[in-house]
Amino acid sequence: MAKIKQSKLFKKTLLIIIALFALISVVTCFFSGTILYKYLTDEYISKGTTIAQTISNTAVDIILNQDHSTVQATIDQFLEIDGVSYLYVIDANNEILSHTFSPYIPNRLINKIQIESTIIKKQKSTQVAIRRIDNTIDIEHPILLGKIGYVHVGMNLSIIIEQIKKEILKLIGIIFIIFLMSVYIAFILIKQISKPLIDLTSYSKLLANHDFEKPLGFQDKLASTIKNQNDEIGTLAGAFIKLELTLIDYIKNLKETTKINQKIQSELNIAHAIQMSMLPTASLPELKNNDYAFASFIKPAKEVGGDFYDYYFDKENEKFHFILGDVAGKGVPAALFMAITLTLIRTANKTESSPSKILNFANKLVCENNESTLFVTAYYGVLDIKTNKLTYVLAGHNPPYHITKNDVIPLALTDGMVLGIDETFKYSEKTIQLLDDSQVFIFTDGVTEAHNKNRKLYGEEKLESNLKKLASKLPKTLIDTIYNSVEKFAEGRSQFDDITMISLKKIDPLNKFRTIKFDLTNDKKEITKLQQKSELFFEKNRISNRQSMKYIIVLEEIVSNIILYGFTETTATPKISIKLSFKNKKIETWVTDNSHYFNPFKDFDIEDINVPLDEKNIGGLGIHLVKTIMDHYDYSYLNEKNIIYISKTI
Amino acid sequence: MKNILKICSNTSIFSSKKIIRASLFTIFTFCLFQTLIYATDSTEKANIKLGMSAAFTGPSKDLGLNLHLGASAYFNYINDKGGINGQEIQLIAYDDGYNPEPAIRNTIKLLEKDNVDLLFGYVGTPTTTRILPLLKIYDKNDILLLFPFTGAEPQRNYPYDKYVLNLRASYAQETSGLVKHFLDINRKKIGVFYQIDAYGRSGLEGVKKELSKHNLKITSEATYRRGQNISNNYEEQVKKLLDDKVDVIISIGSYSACAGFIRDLRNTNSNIPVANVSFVGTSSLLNQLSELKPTSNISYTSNLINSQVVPHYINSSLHAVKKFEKLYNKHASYPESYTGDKSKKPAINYVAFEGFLDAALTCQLIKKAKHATREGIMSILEKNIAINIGIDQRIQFIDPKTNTINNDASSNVYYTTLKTTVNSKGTPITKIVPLTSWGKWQK
Repeated sequence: MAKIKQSKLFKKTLLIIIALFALISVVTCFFSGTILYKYLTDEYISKGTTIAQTISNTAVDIILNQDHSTVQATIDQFLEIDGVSYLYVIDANNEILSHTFSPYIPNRLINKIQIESTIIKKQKSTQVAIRRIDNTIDIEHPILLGKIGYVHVGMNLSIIIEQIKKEILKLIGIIFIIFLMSVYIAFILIKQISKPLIDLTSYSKLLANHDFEKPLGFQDKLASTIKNQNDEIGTLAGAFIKLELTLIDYIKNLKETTKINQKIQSELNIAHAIQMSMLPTASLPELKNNDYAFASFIKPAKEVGGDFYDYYFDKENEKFHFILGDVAGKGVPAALFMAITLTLIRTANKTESSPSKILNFANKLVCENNESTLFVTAYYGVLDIKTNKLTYVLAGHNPPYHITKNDVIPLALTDGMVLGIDETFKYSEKTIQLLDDSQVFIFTDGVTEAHNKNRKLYGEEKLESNLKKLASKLPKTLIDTIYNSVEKFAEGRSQFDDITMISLKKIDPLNKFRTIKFDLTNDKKEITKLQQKSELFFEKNRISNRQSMKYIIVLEEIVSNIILYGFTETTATPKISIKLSFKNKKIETWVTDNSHYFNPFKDFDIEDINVPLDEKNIGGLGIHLVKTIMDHYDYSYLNEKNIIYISKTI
Repeated sequence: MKNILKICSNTSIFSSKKIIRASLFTIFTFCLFQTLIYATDSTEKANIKLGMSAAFTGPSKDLGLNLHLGASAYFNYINDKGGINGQEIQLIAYDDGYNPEPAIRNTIKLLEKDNVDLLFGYVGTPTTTRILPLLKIYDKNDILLLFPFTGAEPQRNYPYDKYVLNLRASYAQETSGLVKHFLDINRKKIGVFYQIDAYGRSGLEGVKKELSKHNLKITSEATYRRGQNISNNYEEQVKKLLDDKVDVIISIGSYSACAGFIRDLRNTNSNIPVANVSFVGTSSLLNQLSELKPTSNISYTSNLINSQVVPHYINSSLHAVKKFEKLYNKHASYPESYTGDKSKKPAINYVAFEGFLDAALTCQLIKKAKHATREGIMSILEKNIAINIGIDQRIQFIDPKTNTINNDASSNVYYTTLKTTVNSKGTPITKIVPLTSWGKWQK
């Protein structure tokens, strides 16, 4: 019951009924009011006229033959008639013979009679005259054509308004009763309609929380009552029951499929791990005193992919090999082919050294084993560390970019065919000189062919412009930024193809030595290393010997103090970290060690320079030198480490 | 009979024998019925039946009751003495509440059902004037209305004058008398407060006519509707009259409404004289005014004048008064329909005295006429007999100028005023006293 009262259907219907009845009430009341007013007014005028005529007919004799009290008695009888507000009889001389006014004759009437009789000398009328005065209709009827006088009957119109109000109230009452009946009927009807709907709603709510393991049982009830209803609700109930049964079947199938998929997925995950483990992860050996920086990135579109990269350093020949490949297709077949290709290339470069020869060899092997006629595009580059020359081959691969300070230029093609098609194909190579601060960026088409939901490609143009902006960055930063840009461009669309990028940068030596870091142990011999490293730092930063000499002495003093006195036998792994920095003509140094707490600037007083060396306190001279030579010095103890900071501006 | 035959002849299934038999039976039944009616009639004729319709309820009930008390005092006395010519007087009285319609209904009932011989002592103008046409309609009943308690004109004029006899002067005579006296004392700005119906109109016409003789008009008029009483508010009427600066007011109304009007007038601190006509029932008016409690030092009973149509009844040597005083307590009775305490009678008053005189004159007329019919009474009036009912004049119904029947027995108007004296116990008592001098209100 309450449910039905609250049901939206009932509320809506109620609102419609209310609106409809309001409209009907307004329209009906307006029209009946208007019609009634006209009808009643006509009726009242006609009534008044009849009364006036009756009196005027009777009054002739009475006025002539009898006294005014009889006239009064005559008009008095009519005052009881509904709507008659007043009556009065005036004679031909405008004298009031009788009237019914109480408590007195209205002044307005006296004035009117006076004005008509004395001032305007009104023409005697022989016709019935009807005038409206405020809320009263005055009907003037001549007696004996006005020879004897006139009868005036005032019909009160406000009584009409009252009557209309009463009638309209009655009307509204009737409409209200009909309204209540309509609401009741609507309620019954909606109850009939709502009951199955409410059942259906409960059923659908149960369905929403149903695990679809087995039937709810509710549908049996539904089937017995509603489903057999020969209407839309019956059809709907049938559909719901069918839906539940279908869903139960579906969920059952889905569970089975999911199980299988999960198995496949876990296998794929293993395959992914295997594939990734095939790619090199070892950090690069220092390529010519860190003259080069290298970074790699791979992200398959699915668990496993056909993209691969590889690199290794041929120490003997001081050559750095870095390779990138892209098997046509995706998924497991591509991944397997990628594994073969990678293995074959690795095999090839064991025996061959030039990129073209390596690819000739590898291509031959790939072709031999290529029964599924897959093919691979590849880049193979070899950097000669000594000459800074890069020799490369492009086997059907899109050209990498050569990024210099001012420009981004695609590398020239080498007219190489894809691997795995023609075993007799001979690859040719090209060589470029890598200048300081330039880098080579190699990528697969997963980058440029990434697209957004509007099917717009990321494209080479966008890639080039981004690379231009990133020219000064190190390879790692550059690759990460490009990947983020691609991902942002795709606007959440799942990755379409494997994305692989590698990049090699020749670093400007000047920049390289702005900051250096190195570690020392607590061995006196380490002072030599300190000397070498510092000298190289000052030399590379073109700081004069005079300046560097003093600085290096101070540094040596500090470090030897730590080596000699800082560590005790309990220190597990003694380590002294040095960081040298040159920026804005300011040389700064941080010496960090993990020995016990010791503040050299506090625990030693400024020494008397005149005291012979032999007699000086241990370490005392070093501290003296620090305080006199350096612009700033500082000590702090942080995370159980002593940190000495010194700086000097030259 | 004819109809029955007609129906039967139109119906072929009835045989002629049957028709004759049925006819004979009908004739027999009809004759038997007629005989019974006559028999009943002849026994009822033993009494002289008088029909009365008056206000025994409503705002003018005092008038009807007092009139009945006064009249019954005499009728009962006569009946005790054996009636008139051996016939008892039976007064059948119905209440009309001073409303025309019940009065008409009562009259029809009295004439058709009660078969009264004469109508007697109707109270009020609106009631009496409306039943006048009935007298003409029931002309064959030989009916006559005796001494209605109204001073209205219609029953004094053609065509109803032949059906009514009046003992009292008309309102016009009363009011014209009052106007004459006021003009004498230089009170010319006369205002009229009246009941807006035939009664009020009659009185107003008297005022107007008398004034017009002196080329004057009434200064102001205010009205109230019949049925209003002391509980109503009359401030509007008072304001209207005072605004028009009247210096005397003639009041033509019922005692209850007039008392209310006087109260509201005196509450404005105006002490201009107010004159009431006989219909007001002076003692009823006095009773009503005495019950009022003035808010300040105002006297509601001073500066009041009343016109009366019967002589003054206190300290009078008149034979009628003496007889009235003697018979009133013993014989006066309330109408049958009266629901109040019938053992408690009001003190003698003008209305009761008028009823007493009406009854006395009625009995004299019936006695002389020997038949209680219009024809009988009219026949003796034509003989120009003078009837003595113990007042200061003999009653005659002949106009001495024309020597024709004049249905107005009297045109005498008497004046009284209210006088307050303090009795031995120190309580003030207001009494109705004859007005001897108007000089008090001289302007």
